[in-house]
Amino acid sequence: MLSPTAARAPLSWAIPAIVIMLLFHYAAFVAGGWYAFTDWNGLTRPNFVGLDNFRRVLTSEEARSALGNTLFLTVFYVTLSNAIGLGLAMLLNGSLRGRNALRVLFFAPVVMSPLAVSYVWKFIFAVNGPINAGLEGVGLDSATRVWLGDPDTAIWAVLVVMVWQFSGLCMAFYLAGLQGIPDEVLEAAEIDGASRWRRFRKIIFPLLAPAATVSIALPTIFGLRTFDQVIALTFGGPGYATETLATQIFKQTFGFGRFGYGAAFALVLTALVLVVSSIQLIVLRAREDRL
Amino acid sequence: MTYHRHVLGISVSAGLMLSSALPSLAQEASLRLVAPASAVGDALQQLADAYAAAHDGVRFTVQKFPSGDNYGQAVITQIQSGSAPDLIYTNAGYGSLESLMPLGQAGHLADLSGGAWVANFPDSAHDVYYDGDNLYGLPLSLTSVGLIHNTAMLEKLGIAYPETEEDFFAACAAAAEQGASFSAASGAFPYYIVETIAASKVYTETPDWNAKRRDGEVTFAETPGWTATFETFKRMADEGCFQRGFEAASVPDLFAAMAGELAASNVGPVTLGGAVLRMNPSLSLEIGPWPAGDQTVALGFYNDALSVAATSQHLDVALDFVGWLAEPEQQRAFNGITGGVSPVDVTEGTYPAMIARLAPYYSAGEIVGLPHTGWTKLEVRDALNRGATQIVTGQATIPDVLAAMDAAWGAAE
Repeated sequence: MLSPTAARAPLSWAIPAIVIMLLFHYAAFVAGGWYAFTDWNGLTRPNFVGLDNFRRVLTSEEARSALGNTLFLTVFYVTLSNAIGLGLAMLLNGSLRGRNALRVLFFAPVVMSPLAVSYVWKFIFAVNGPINAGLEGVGLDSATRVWLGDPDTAIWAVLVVMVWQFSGLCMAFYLAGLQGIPDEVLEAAEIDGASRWRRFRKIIFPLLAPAATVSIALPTIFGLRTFDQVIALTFGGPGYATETLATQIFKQTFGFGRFGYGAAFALVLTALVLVVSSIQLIVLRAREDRL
Repeated sequence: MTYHRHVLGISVSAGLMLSSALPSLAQEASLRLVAPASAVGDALQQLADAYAAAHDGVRFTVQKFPSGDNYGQAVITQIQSGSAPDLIYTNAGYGSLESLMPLGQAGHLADLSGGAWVANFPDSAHDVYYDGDNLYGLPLSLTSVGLIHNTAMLEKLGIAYPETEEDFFAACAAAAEQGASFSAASGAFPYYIVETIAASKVYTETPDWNAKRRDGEVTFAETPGWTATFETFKRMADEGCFQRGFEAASVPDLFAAMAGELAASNVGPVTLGGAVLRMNPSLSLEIGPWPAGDQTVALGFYNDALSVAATSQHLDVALDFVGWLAEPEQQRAFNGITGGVSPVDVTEGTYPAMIARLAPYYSAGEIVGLPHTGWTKLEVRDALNRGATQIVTGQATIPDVLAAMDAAWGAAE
């Protein structure tokens, strides 16, 4: 049996590490949070303004647009990248010839810089770019667009780039999940006469629950933080058509020098990420437990 | 470039000889100067080195940061962290994070009004350099803004330089008929176009419009000239004056359109012409005023400035350096590198060939500064930028945009 001193020792030994972690991880966060309640512009002393910045975040046009666009991108990005990722995983989990090479090809965009990828796509979406050229080539001149300059299509263009780049990540999660499903279970179902669809719905999909939890949670966080693609493709325009919370934080803080307002935006984004991802994890984990 | 280096060599040598004739400050001083990583930074670096070589014990460290928002952010961060440099490259007025007025009003810049060079201070720059009796910067060059045009391409298209707006729209149609765009534009940053039009439609009639806006005597929404400005911009878009897809174009796209001779002109600062020439040195570019008939005016502003930090430990040396830079030789050396026009050349009426069309207006004093340098909030220019594109894409009406600009002007910090 350990002496009382020995039993307490581990906690006291951890105190320096805990203090360092709090200082480096959270002190700056708390200090930044304080500025959200001030009018600090980077030049003069900050004045306490209470909840004014938060009121503005909740009522201004730029914030409303940014919040709406962020949620739109997140919902469609999570849905589409999971659907495509799952489809690719199912396809490449079988005995398809060259599947390893295809896995690498589909996963490769994930490791590329989002900025670099977005600049390539900017060329593809350009008014004289391959998409419009292709449409003109098949006689669909009327379908050509200024894809990134049209408020009706610009946000979809951003979404396409995000889904194209990160569907491979979801594919990797689902492939890992699929490889954890015992072959005997699937073979037994097949012998019992279960169709492909029934095997997917009743066996594969439920057993992919842990993979789905990760594959939904991570893209949700990525989606809520969307920044690089917007900056490279549209810089938030035309108008506010593609502004997101993250681009607004950057512009308000480093473009306009409104550090207080930018900090309030950042806190709102942090709260949003925390709440959404927590709810999502609770729901998905509960689903895992039920299965 | 060779010519510029030659001019610089002669100028710096002349400066050195002049300086060596002056009594040395005879003290040890190590000064830090921050500047953008561009031709401006290079020019300041060379002049600082020349000054140091002529003054025993004086050393300069020139820190260069990327141009744009990053530069302003670096300046603010250094000031806030208590490590402000001695000398700061700033911009006139209020238009950017590194603008001298907000920095000066916050107490971060020294008052330069005691310098002997102030006697030659350009009148048109007064409002964007002085806060009451306090002067916060030395103007380094005159930047012209106007219609930068490819003279050879205009000739090839059979288009004469427009004198009126109707001529301009006729030129757009003529260029379009021949498969070209008369003017290139960036939908992400159209403010130079809008502000250049406004110079004729708002500021020729009311030169002190910005001061009146600050005093609450006028608003964007209630000023007919601002409505007319946006109407002209919209007409330019509707009548195909700009390259296809300009709504999504960034500034580099605009350079490419000019360099690739897809567009014959562009409204912007003369420095933009320099950037285009670096991409295609074979072009022949000139800059002229916005064609507004009898309301035509030159748009020029002394944007590049050097300021002294209020906290400098070597204030006397920093002020002496500023005074030295204000001398004609150094002014010309600076502009020989940057491609601008020195204040002394403006006073003497000596202009480079590229801005010959603007020279008569400068000589006659018919000059308007860039409007947004007198707007106290950066958000107003942002509202203009977004709004101009929103009008073209149907996301907003002109009254909506003018109301947004007024709201941005009055927005609480």
